[in-house]
Amino acid sequence: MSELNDLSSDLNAREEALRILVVEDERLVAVDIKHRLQRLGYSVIRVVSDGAGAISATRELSPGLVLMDIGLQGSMDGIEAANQIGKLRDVPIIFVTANADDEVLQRALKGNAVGYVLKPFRDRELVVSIEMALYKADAERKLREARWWTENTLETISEGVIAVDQLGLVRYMNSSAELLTGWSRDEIREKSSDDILQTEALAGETEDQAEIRVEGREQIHPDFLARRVQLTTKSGARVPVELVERVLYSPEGDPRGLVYSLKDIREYLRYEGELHASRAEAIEAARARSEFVANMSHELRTPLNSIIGMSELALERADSDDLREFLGILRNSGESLLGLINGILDFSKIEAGKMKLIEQDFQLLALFQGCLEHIAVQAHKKKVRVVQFIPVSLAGKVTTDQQKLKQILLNLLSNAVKFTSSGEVALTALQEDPEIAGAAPMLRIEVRDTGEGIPPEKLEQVFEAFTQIDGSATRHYGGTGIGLAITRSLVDLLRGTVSVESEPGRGTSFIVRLPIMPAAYELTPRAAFYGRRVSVYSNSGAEAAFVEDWLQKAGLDVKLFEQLSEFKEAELDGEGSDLVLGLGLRGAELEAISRLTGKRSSLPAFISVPIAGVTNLKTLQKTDCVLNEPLRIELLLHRLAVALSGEQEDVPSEHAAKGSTKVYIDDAALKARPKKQLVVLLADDDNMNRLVNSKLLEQMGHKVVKAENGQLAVERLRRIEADIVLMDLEMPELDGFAAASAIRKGEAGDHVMNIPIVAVTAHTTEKDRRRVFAEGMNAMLVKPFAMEELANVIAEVTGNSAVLGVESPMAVATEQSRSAGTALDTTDILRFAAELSSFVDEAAATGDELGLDEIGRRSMRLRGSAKTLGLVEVDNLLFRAILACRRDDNPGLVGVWRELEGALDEISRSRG
Amino acid sequence: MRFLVVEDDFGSRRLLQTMVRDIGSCDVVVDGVEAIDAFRLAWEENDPYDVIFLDIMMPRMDGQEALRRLRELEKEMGVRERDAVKVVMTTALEDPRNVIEAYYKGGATTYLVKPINRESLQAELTQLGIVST
Repeated sequence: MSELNDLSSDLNAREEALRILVVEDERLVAVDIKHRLQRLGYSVIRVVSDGAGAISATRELSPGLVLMDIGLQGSMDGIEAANQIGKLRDVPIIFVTANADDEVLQRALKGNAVGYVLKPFRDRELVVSIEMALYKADAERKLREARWWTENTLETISEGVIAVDQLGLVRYMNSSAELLTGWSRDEIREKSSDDILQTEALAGETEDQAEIRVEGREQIHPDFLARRVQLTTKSGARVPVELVERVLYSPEGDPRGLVYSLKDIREYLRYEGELHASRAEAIEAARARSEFVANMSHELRTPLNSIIGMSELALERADSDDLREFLGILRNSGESLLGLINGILDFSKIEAGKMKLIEQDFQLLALFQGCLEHIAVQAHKKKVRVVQFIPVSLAGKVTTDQQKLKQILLNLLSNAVKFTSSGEVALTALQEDPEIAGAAPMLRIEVRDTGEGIPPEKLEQVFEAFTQIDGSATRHYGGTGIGLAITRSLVDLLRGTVSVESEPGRGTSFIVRLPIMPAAYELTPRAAFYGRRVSVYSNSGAEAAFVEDWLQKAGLDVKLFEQLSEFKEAELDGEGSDLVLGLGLRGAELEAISRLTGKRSSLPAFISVPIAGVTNLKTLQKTDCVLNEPLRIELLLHRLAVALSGEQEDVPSEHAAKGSTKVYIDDAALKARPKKQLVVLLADDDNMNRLVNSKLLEQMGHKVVKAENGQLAVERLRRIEADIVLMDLEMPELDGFAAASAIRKGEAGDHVMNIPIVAVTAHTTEKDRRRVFAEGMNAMLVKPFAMEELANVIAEVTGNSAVLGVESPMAVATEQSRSAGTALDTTDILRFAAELSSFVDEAAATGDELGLDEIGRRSMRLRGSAKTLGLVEVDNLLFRAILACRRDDNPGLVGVWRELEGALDEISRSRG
Repeated sequence: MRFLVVEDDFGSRRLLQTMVRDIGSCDVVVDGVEAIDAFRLAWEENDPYDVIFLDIMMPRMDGQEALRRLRELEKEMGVRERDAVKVVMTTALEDPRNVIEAYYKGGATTYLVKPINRESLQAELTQLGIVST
């Protein structure tokens, strides 16, 4: 007994004793059961004797268990009562019966009980039955609850779920699946999944495409394939769905069926469609905008071209101060406008992200050189030096967008020059090692000036668009205020950074850092440098360091003098210097050098000078080599090699056109020539040419004697005291060559045997040139020539000042154009215009008869006169007529005639 | 020194023509077709152009096409590289792609940005060796 107590108390380990309702009609048995239960530790809350009592007691007391005798008195037996109770409450019921009747047992089995015991029963059986019943009831409750969660979850989700067995029959379908497919659960009992899941590819896609398109879900699991398909519902409607199909495995690993999940993607597709459409719209809008910008750019620049250019030309011919002032303002406004337009267009292009990076290889040294040369003229006008420092190790090949880097540097450099009035502008390049270990080194390019600087409170705004430091600066210095904003955008594009440091009154420094690293420049040490020493003085620290680096790497020993006083006092010969190099010297510094070189005539001296003219000719003449600024380091090395080796080398072609010169010739030298009135013999068969050229010469201050052909030229020369002959080569009777030959033979007299003869011709072939000089002529002028050319040639061959009484040939040209209204010119022009007009009429009317060849030939002749008369547009049109003739292009020719008539009308209207 | 200006805008071509007047003789045409004609004519006269100013945007035949044909003609005639005519593209530079193509691939010698001013013209001509300093 005590064992049983222990057992039941273990099993009955509840917080409170189980509350049992006993239903038993036999009173003695009821009491017995009650006592036994209580002894076992259960609590009996009531004992009732019939079905109705059982029901009401359950309702009232909510027992934890009901012990139900099956055989009860009354209309309701235990089984029926149990059923009734089952409708009320979820309480475990155990049947108790003495009857082992089959029929009753059957009914009992089907009834609402979780177990039964047969009377008589022992305590042990009772306990076991009770506990098992409770356990079962509990398990069932938990199961029901779990099922409730699962089923309701499946029922609530928006995706349809259909489970199908191996035979293809539908085993489960949730309500969303019902909604989507149109089939209800009841209907599908007999149906296979094929009937329900009628799918096909979406419009415009193949099955394969549909599979791939869903965002990478197939990568999660090979079975987990999602497809976009078109589902046909029960009613025949078609719905786009996303379908996922997965295999269902038993715990043993055998496939038991398939689970489909369906998602309605109508909204999603619509959204996708909208997205595509708006993206396409945005791209189109951006494209249209940049096309607009491009067109605008061309449209805006074209008329500006004329405004600026024409006002410049007009300025050159302006002969009154008023006019010059007005035109100057016109031109400056035009240039400002142009600057603004360029800035705005650039800026908008960058903002629109339309600027593309073009990576190229180029030499950094060459880029630096080009940039410095660009600003040098302007700088030198202000007497500001332009220097660079770029070490050999960074001067070689680099890969980036060359145009943009150039634009950045030019921007910064021209700003520097603009805001500096004395001192220097330096462009330097250095390697900057990273602060973080392992990061790549950067290229640090600095533009440093000794200008007025920027106040600290304005430093931040410096890169903002449209805010110049001082509003009045715009008026004073010009510019648009966008330059630095563009610069910064460009630097961003090159993945770099730009910053500024400044000290008002001392200068400003713009620093550009770029993630690029140039290779070293390939500098070959020269044999001529071996064991040689050069003494260098420069008034710029940056330049001195630059020259020192390069000269040393090229093999020279360099002694750097930082102070002029040291330099002046140095016993250079004693120091073992082979050459002296003075950079950027002017005024007193230049004097110092000249005294030095004067003392030591054996020591070669090199000087570098700014481009814009030098006043100290005599000093320069004492030097051995003069180099123009900005300094070209390769040229310097080359010249040094030549000087130190004593050999003559050909100057490499890229240096030939510029970079060094022996001595500067300026106007003063020219003006020093004698000013005698010359007697010019003008030989030309063309009336027009004779008239115009003699007028020209007379305006220059000389006397003219005319001859209509070579024969007459020789004859007239015999009788006069001429100083120079202008000989047209194409003349009848005796042509220019023959006439010149005759003169040289003495046929015009001994006094003119060596007279300077200038050939005048339209032909410039090598053969003609050689012949001209072979016949003993001194120079050649090509028709048509400008007044200045004529003046220069005369000056050269006679050693006489060509232009008397005026400052320069330019003034004469002005004089000439001002007097363009003289009777002579106008009459001839009008006569010519008339002649041309009738030619055009004739050609247009009888073109076929004349033949295009003939028209072409005549046009060529007329061109000559047009040129001489200065009718440029007529000349141009006649040229195009000739081309049209050659092309057999009649309609084109007619077009030209029409334009020509317009031009001739304009002439007669303006001069008639 | 012979120049050819190929430019469809009246103001621009008169401007260029006037600027080079002091340096040499100058002919003017208005599109690529005429440019080729003029080029051929000059060679026939044995007096080819030294410099051609070629606008990129023109009717009938644009600058790129004209340049291509000019270089082709030179090749056919067996003109040596150092005797080839120097072509200066003139552009408003709103279409960098065109310029880069012409410049780097098309055989242009250099380019000038419109509006052209005397200084930049001088600088280019100096660099080309046409004018001496």
